[in-house]
Amino acid sequence: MTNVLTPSLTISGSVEVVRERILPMIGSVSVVEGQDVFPDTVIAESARPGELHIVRVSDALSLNPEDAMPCVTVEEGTKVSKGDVLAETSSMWGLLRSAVSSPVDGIVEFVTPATGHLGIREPSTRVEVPAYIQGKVRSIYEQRGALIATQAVFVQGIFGVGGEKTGIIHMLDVLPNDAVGLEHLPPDCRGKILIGGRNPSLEVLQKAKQEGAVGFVTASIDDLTLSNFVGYDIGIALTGDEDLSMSLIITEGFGAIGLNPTIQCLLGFCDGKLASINGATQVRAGAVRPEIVVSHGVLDQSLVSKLVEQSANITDAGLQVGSIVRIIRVPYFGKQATVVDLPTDLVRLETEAMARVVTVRLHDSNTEVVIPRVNVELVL
Amino acid sequence: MSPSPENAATVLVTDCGSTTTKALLFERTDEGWRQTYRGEAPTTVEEPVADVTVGVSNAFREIQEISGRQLLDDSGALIISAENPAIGVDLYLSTSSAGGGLQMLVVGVVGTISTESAQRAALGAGAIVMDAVSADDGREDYQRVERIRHVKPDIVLLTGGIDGGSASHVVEMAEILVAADPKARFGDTLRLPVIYAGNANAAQEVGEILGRVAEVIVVQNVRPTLDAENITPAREAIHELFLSHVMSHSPGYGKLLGMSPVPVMPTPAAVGAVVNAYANESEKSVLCADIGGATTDIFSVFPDAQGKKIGNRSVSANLGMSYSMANVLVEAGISNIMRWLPFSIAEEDLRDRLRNKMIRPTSIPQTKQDLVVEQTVCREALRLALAHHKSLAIGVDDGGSTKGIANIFRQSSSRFELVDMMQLDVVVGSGGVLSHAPNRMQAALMMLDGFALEGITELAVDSIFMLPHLGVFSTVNLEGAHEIFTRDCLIPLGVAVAPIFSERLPRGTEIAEVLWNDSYSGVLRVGEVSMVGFAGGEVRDGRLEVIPSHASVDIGAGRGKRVVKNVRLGACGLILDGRNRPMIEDSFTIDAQRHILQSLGLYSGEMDR
Repeated sequence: MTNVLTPSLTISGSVEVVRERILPMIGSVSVVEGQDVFPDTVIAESARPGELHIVRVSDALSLNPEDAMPCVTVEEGTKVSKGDVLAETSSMWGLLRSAVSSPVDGIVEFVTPATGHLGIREPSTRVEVPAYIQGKVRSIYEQRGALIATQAVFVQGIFGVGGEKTGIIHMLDVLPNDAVGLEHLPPDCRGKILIGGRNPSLEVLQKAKQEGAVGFVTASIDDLTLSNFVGYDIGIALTGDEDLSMSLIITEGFGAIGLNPTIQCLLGFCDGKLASINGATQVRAGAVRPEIVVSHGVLDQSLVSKLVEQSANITDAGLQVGSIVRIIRVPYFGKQATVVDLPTDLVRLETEAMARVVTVRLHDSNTEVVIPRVNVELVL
Repeated sequence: MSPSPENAATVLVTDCGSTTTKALLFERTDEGWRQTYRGEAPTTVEEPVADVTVGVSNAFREIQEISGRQLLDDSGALIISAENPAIGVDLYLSTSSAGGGLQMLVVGVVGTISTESAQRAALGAGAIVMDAVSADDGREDYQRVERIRHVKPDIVLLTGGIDGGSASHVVEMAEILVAADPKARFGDTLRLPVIYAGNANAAQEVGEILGRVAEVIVVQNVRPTLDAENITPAREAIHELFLSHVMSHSPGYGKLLGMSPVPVMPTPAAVGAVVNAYANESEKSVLCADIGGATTDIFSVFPDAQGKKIGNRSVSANLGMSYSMANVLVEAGISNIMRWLPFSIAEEDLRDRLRNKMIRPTSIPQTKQDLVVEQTVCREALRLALAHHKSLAIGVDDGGSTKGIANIFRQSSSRFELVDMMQLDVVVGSGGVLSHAPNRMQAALMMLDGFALEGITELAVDSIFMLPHLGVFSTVNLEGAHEIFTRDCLIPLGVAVAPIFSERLPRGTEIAEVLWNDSYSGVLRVGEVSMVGFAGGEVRDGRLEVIPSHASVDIGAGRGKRVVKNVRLGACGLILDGRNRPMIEDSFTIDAQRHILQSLGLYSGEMDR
């Protein structure tokens, strides 16, 4: 039979998380292989080239490029300060002088005779790449960065906004199926990653952000609330660059869906511990999903042993009778169910389309319904 | 020993889309080439699989199950040219748009000359043009630099200047590229490929300047003179770089490239090849929409001012039915989507549904109501994509002999939109939402509404979304591809008749009479949509005559003039659309939409649940 490729997000108490931490340009690496690192450990650093400013000398002197070149007083590699003369011309026995000065401090990068232009590069700025997760340096990329690995509790969300953040997990005192209200926020949000419930209102999210929370992880959200939180309607699922002091991760989807009990339980074990999160999402092209990483290094050893044992017993054998699934489309959107049959023949849906289906028993009503296979995802 | 590609008798072809990988089996039978079996599986470029060949193998396996023909060996590898002709295939081919397709940045000097030619070269090669930067685009240098940095293209195409002309402007654009120091989308150690296709005299200087930050490939100028366009060398360079740089950095593509002796073709380039061949052979003006999960491609072939057929392609990179569904919501606006619905739904619910499709792109509608929601989004995606296409499909009436500087001024004044909806003969729909619509009339109505068809237009769909497969197959067997296209691919739906008339005519007024093979078939009335079906609904050719009942009515031959046209009907018969263009406001109420669906046999009470 055709392999059933049912999408699922990783939710695990013990999985190896490996992250490449790479500079955007050549630089120097500050760690060594085997070194223990923390989220804020600098892995590599470099100097980012400054902005390049094009100075149109020929235009400024009202000359043709070939006439302007003899007037240029600097050459490639010359260090200049803002206001320094780059080119000058005189006429009427020196009585009329025109000059072009540098708009910035920098170095002359190029002089182009064909255009009569100069390029001035501003001084470079320092760029650092932090470890982001707590772990160990597995290998080094010469002059670029390193590979960091850790055994961790790892939860992928379905959608998020905001970039990498590190904070202390705070489980909200709210039931997984209840909406998060202002009353559920802790008195001190500073540096915390708030986790729990579903559908926080805009007021809740803004309050958490204002109070200094660095992350908010919840089951679901209304599209309008998300748009208002970010400040605009997100058209393309390519996020992570938003200028947000608090990253937001949604684990289940849009609408009103409760938090997956496995996530509630796993992250509940990590309450009060250091975690790294990233809201970056890219649904297309090599899919990036938002993530929550809690290194085993910050957990009690007894808990780690338990998590490792539990994870070893979970196998992803694909969709089969007995699998627990979440339905991801109306009319049963968000409901959890158990697979009771996987018919091989195509079945005609209400839409009149023919599709491969799965028969499931809904957990909330104990009734059996038939669902297109592509409309379920495994709950591991 | 395996036969040469052109002599292969069983050919397995995949199209690796951003959402689904579709595999088709083409076989040479006693009655000629036929498409025989089909299988599909989710595309697997995403984690945790991150290997496109896994989805390809799953699609193969589905064909194997359905056909009973052994395609895979015990290790799961495709069997090519086995001694036993009953197993395996002779040839494997593929197209691909997975991984977001080929993304390009176009840089030129004059927006309506070199940049426009460069865009056509990039689009014709199957690329998505992320932005077109020109010296005259009104942006400041820093804005251009920021934009170039932001788009992260796979390839840059730099053009500008005629051969022997001034080098300074194109060199200046090269300087801006250096200032931006753009990075390639894949592989952070990869030097960004820049194809230079501008003034040959500036090639050396451009190479020296850009060589610091990019890998420069010099090809012939796309505009060697003002009145000549030469885009083939740039297009070929793009294809080569697509394979060597872009595909090889996508998950699993190294393996995919090794599975076929024929280069993997960008999906849009494959579809474009088929559309152009069809328009040339049928001598019709053609519009083809391929609406995918992430992007919508529009292809058109219309005559220019001299009557020469010009093929154009546009890609609306972020209009689509899954990954890009939320972007259709953002670009069209929620009210434009809701106006097509025949039932009431809370705006919040609708927004959440579209977002959920975006984040779980492989899910499908299970209820009729949900299907209608997707099909309304399709209408808006088509509307937006056509507007984009019209803005790019531009003809230049150069007066034939005008040369030199005078032509520059003529070009800005004599540019015209090639796409004339009133003169469109055939519209072809492709892509899952159109090809797999459970009812063919749904596909016809999506195109009629989304494109706001005018005059008399034949409608057809790609039966099971095989245009990409036929495009790549045509590169090794043109005749075989043509046979499959006419027998198995193009499904005639019917003919839409949509006049334009005076706004003053009251609703319900008769505006035209319709005759089929000289027999009265029906009338068009203001504000109404109806269908004239024919027994059996089979494909039939005949003579359609539309006689205006009012002097203001234009059906394509001018106001008040009757039109006679030989057309082909299919399952949907004749669709008579009296909604005027642009469509009148009172067409956009729940009752009006429900009435239209009822008239066309598409309404069901289940939609209100």
